[in-house]
Amino acid sequence: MNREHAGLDRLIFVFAGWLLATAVWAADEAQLEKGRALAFDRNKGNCLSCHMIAGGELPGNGGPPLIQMKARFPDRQVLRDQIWDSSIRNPQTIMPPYGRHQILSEEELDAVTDYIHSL
Amino acid sequence: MIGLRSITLAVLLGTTAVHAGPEEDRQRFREFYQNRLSSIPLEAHVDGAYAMNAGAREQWLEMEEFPPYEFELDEGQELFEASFADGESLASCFPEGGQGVRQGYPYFDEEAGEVVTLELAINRCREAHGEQPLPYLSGDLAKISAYMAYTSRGNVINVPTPQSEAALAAYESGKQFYYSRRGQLNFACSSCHMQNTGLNLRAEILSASLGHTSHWPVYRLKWEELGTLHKRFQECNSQVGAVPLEAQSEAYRNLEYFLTYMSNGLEINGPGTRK
Amino acid sequence: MNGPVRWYSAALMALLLLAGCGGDSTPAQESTQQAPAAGEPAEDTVSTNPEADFPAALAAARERHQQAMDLEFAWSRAETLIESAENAAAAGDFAGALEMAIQAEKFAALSIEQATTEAEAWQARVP
Ligand code: HEC
Ligand code: HEC
Repeated sequence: MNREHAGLDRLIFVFAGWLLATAVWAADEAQLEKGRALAFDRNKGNCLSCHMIAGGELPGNGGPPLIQMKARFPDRQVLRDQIWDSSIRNPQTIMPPYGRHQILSEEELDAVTDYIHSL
Repeated sequence: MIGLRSITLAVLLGTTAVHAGPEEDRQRFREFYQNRLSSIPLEAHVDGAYAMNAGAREQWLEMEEFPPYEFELDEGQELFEASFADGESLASCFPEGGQGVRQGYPYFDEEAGEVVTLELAINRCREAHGEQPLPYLSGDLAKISAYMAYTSRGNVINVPTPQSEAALAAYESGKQFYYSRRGQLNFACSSCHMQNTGLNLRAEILSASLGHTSHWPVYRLKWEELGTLHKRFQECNSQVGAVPLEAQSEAYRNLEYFLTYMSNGLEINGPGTRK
Repeated sequence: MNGPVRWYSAALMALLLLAGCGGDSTPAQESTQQAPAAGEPAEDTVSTNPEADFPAALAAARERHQQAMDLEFAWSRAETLIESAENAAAAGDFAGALEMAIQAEKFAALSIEQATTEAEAWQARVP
């Protein structure tokens, strides 16, 4: 093995790793920020009208506070389903069916789910 | 098996819907709020959300000392007393000369086979005397209606119990409207005003539907004028993403019929003031 | 195996990832070249002639929405989308107009579905 090459290899490996990490981190941050904006937007998620969410002003109290979501929903898909159509779990729910009635697009729903899951 | 069960369920639902008459509905409606908001006397719900929060109530009472509708109310009296081109006036179309009659509206007109609201009766009277009907959401009609409510303050809401098949059908259609989910956001009136009553939607406290019709028309600070009950129906439909219906449409009149019947026994306290 | 080539390609992949995840994709611009995703309804197939396809799509949306209006269960999203579609077509944007008309019809269909479900479901809410 060529020593010089090994050194270069390692350097490039570290650089690639750093790039990847930054890319993933930036994408995560952008996704969470997008989800937060959608959740707070009165014309989109408007989740605050019923849920207390950290950092949200004038929350309503028709629904439970959205805290410790990873503990409540270890499986992200279960959380996504809850937001997509809450009437599956509770037929008389007052929470709007964000996915079933296309209040949010599937892509927007992913962003909101990621954000809520991070709470 | 499943088919059989759902048929049984449908039959059961069908029978409860048929057997529960309006009077039984009204008792259950009252019991619901009695249980749900046990600290609030049922009669207090005529003040809407202000029956539920002491701070908001205090501000509201201050506002009512110099009510913002006072000017429109005076105009309403003038309009009520004014003569039509044929020399008659509104008083000629109403029992008791239209003084203190608000509590009997809406009622089911057996001959016409439809629900007659106070606003509809006012416009029909005008038309019978060769005058143009007035727009239903606000303005002169709301002012006249406000005056007629004012002369009825303290009278007890007394909508006759629907008896005939046609009256019961109108009542049932209003009831179905009230409990049906509508709009992209998928809310029934009952989702907010029963299931979530007393709770906050953002910063707004959700009022009880018991007493919802006692105090109309209402001067809303947001409207900056008096508006009719059907204007409020339209707003409550719109905010859930449903296309609102026409004021005084048959569906809204039936809804008013059902809602007002639920409030039988409460006092008229219109016109009112709201945020 | 040549080590550096492997790492260079790793770096390249990372860069690609960054490019792929960072910016918002613009489906409207790309969709004309893309085949519809598997499982999407056939009507999402991108029209090759939106100007020709638009009138039928608009008529279908209007008809469904009118049905919902007659049932007194119409949604305002369907109404505003029909208006926007008409405006877009008037401005010559037929691709946009067609997309909105199709979406409007979907909302109208959902509102009719709601009316159908609610014809029974409301009774469960009566106290
Ligand atoms: C109109 C009121 C309302 C709105 C708006 C609303 N929710 Fe809900 N939500 C509820 C209620 C009530 C519950 C309790 C469960 C039920 O009754 O369905 C709930 C439950 C939940 C739960 C489950 C919580 C738990 O711990 O089990 C999650 C997660 C949730 N909502 C997320 C959201 C998100 C995200 C939004 C916005 C996109 C939203 N909700 C908007 C009323 C609402
Ligand atoms: C998404 C929740 C929501 C739904 C659904 C809703 N409303 Fe409302 N409504 C409100 C809010 C908020 C107010 C203002 C605060 C209050 O008085 O409750 C209000 C106020 C009212 C008022 C005036 C109350 C007063 O004291 O003057 C009436 C009457 C009313 N609603 C009737 C209805 C009817 C009838 C329906 C069904 C067609 C309906 N609402 C559906 C939220 C809702």
